[in-house]
Amino acid sequence: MRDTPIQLLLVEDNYLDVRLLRAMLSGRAPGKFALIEVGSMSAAESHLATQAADIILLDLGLPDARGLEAVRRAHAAAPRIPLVVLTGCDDELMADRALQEGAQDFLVKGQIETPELLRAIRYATQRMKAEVEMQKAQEEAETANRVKSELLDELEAAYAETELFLRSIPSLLIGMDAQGRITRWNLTATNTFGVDARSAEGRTIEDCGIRWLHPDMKAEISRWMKTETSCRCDNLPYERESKTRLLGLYVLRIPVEGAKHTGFIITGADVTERMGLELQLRQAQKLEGIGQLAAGIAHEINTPTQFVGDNVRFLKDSWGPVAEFLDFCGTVQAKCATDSLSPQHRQRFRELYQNCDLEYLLEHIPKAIDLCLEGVKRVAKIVRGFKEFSHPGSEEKRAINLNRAIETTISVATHEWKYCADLVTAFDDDLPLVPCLVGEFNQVMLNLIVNSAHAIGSAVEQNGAGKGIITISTRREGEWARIAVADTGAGIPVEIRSRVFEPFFTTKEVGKGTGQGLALAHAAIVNRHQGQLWFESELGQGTTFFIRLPLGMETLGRVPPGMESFGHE
Amino acid sequence: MNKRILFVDDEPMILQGIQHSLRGMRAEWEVQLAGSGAEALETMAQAPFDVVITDMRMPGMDGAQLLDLVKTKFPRTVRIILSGQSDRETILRSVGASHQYLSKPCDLDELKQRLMRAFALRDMLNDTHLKEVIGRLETVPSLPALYIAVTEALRSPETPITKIGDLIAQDMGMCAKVLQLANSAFFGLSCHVSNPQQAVSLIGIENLKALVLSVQVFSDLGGHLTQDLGFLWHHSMTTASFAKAIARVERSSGTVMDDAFTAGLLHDVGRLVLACAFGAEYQQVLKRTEEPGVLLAKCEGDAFGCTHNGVGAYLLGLWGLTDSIVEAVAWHHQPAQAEPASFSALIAVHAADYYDNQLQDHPRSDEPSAIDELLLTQLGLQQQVAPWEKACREVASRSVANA
Repeated sequence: MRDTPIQLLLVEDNYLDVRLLRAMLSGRAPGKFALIEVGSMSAAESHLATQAADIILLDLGLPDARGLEAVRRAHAAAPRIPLVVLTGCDDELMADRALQEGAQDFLVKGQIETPELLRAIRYATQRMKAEVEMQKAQEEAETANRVKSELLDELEAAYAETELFLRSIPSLLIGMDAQGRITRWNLTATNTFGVDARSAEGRTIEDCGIRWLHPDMKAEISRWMKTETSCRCDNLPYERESKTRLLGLYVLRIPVEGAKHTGFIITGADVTERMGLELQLRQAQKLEGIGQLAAGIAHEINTPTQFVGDNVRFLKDSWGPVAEFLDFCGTVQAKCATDSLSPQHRQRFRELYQNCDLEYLLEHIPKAIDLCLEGVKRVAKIVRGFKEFSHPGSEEKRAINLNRAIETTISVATHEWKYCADLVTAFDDDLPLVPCLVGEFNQVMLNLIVNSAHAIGSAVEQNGAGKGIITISTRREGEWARIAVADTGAGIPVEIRSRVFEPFFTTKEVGKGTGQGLALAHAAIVNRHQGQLWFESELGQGTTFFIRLPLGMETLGRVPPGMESFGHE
Repeated sequence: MNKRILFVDDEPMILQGIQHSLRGMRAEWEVQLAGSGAEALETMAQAPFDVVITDMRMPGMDGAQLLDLVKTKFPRTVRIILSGQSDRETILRSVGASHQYLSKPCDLDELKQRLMRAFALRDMLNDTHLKEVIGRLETVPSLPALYIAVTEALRSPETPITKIGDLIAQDMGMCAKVLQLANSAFFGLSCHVSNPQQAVSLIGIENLKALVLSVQVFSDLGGHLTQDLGFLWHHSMTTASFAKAIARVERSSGTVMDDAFTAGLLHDVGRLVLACAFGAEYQQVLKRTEEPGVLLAKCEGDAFGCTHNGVGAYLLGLWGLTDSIVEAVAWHHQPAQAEPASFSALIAVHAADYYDNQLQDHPRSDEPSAIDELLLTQLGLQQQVAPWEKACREVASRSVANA
């Protein structure tokens, strides 16, 4: 229902026809139509350019447009307004073509009845409406299609990106469903194991083409599958190209959306090379410790070598005249027996006696021999200590006498401290044996002793003070063995105390410290021994480092995890 | 008078061992011992010593510190380090204060030989003041242009070590210093080297950098001195290449050729030392030689009690350079005094020095102007004079062509 009248644009130059139509429309439905009358196509066009109309009645015999041209122009001027064509004669062909050009209906002049006119108007309006709606629906469908394909493109791009992302991850990424079947297998997995995704997916980890060297892989996998959150699997052995290689894996349980079961993600990497490097690193650290001592030890061995050599040389030089004298003693003895010792013999005897400096030799040859023995003893002690210190790499914890181990380290490091400090020990003789990686423990003690010596050394340099004191003590504290290394150095400045255990942090001049000593000490004590390492320091008074090692024997024989995370805990 | 030696070591057993091992020399040498630097200084204050031999690393005062004090207080004493220490920093610190460096464990024969050479030097100079001057000397100044060239070459990371060796081989001060370092055990084993290029490669470029750029074992002759003394470098280089050419004519071994070259380069180093130490006084001496017939050596002897030959030889001996070089420097004016048994670097330098003077447009009159023909005849070398001169002329014309 519409209240406003229908705007009807009548394009007709024939006044009679106009009158007739006007009469028809107003007579039957007064007020329903508002008639706009124009006499030419150009007038119609200019009207349509500025104003609206609900329907157009178009005569095909206009002065400025005739026939189909009029239909085309009217349709072009208002493509959305229903168009009813008025033809002068009963020309079916013309009518058809007008409909093809965009008109909705046609009436033949002279045969128009009012009901027919109204019906034509109504139909044309409805048809136009339907047409418009159809067109709109079509456009909407097109838009929807376009949006859909855009979304699809985006989705595809996102998928490709994720795939690329997963492919490019240099770590293994394997998806596994709750039944243990592989659902995902990234490129790294393919490259690592030489098994491609197509042959791995759908199979179980145990049976996916990897030659596992684990003694009970089935049990290991079922351990993974029991995890509630995540579990770690270190150094899992497998074989590739006839070589044993190692994997480090993390297995994470993940919820799978929409399913009541969960799945797993396995990440990780082939750690064979890294394990090799770690081994080398640990070896290098040990060598560094030995190297650090080598110069000092060379000097320590030099000293006895020098005086043993000098004394042996003295013995050799002395022996010549002594041998000559003793030889002559034989002659003298024989002459004495026959009582035929001549004055010449007596003279010769005196000369030889004086020549061999016997008084001096009697006093000094025993000394020289003692010195030689002492020297040899010293060399032996140094060599023994060095051997004990460097301790051919035991990778498992053994029960050791800490006091003795510390004693050894003090002795091999003598050269590091003896010029700037006296070293005092206060050992608890009742300290039980402590489970310990002795090589690493010795290295830590060496670092602490060398640090103490350096701390005292620089304090001496600054204040010109005399020798300092390094005190090393051990005692039992409940279930712990506690070792303290105290120096009388300058103390650690407050502002760097928090950084002392950072790797690469050093206050020593370039070339003197690697900045690794305390970081490694920390890793060795805390990670490898489950112990504690801390210090107390007072400016101008000195610093004391404390170590606590657990006494519990349950860790005996155990090989602790690697040191890869040193300094970050 | 017995030669007096002081050994300093914080290890009493070392001292005992040394005392025992030198017992056999008791007729000529008097050995004293000190357990620390402070004790050593006390002992030295009581009576002068000819040589002090100290350990490097000792509590309290270390060897370098001790020798620094000895250098100022008792400059006439020859300073030797005997150490098992090998860390570079300490060695660099000891380079300035010590004349020679022996490394532990040290063979007794080597020690004895070093001591005997040191004592032989004591008799070379009578003047105690001069001994003090030379005893304190850490460097012999270099020609500024060469000094700059070497320091710049060392600063640039790309310079090949051979180029540095070539530069150093043109300068007596730098050459003497690198030979001192290589002939002592400062950097590893001591070895008898007389070739400066070889010495440089034995020391190594990194050590040389530290020595030259931080420890400053080379020094720069000032500008005005360069004006007065610049001629010495030309004369030294010429003598060096002549001496080498003569040694080549004699088909000498590589060692003798090296000795001849280096002795030639260093034969007048004493003039440089005297000129630097006694500026105005030495100027006076040089003035006197302008009169015809007045010999430089005579004037030097009058003024300082010894000649530049003695001064140079004393310095090089103190620095532990090979005997054949020391001998050639000492006696290049009177080779017969050394009683040579055959052709040697000494003969080569003696002849080369003469030919360089002869080939000048205006031969100097202040140096002996003849070859010791009597000596050459004794050695059966009189026929060689002509080929030597020819070889020297060839070298001279080559260097003119190159210039």
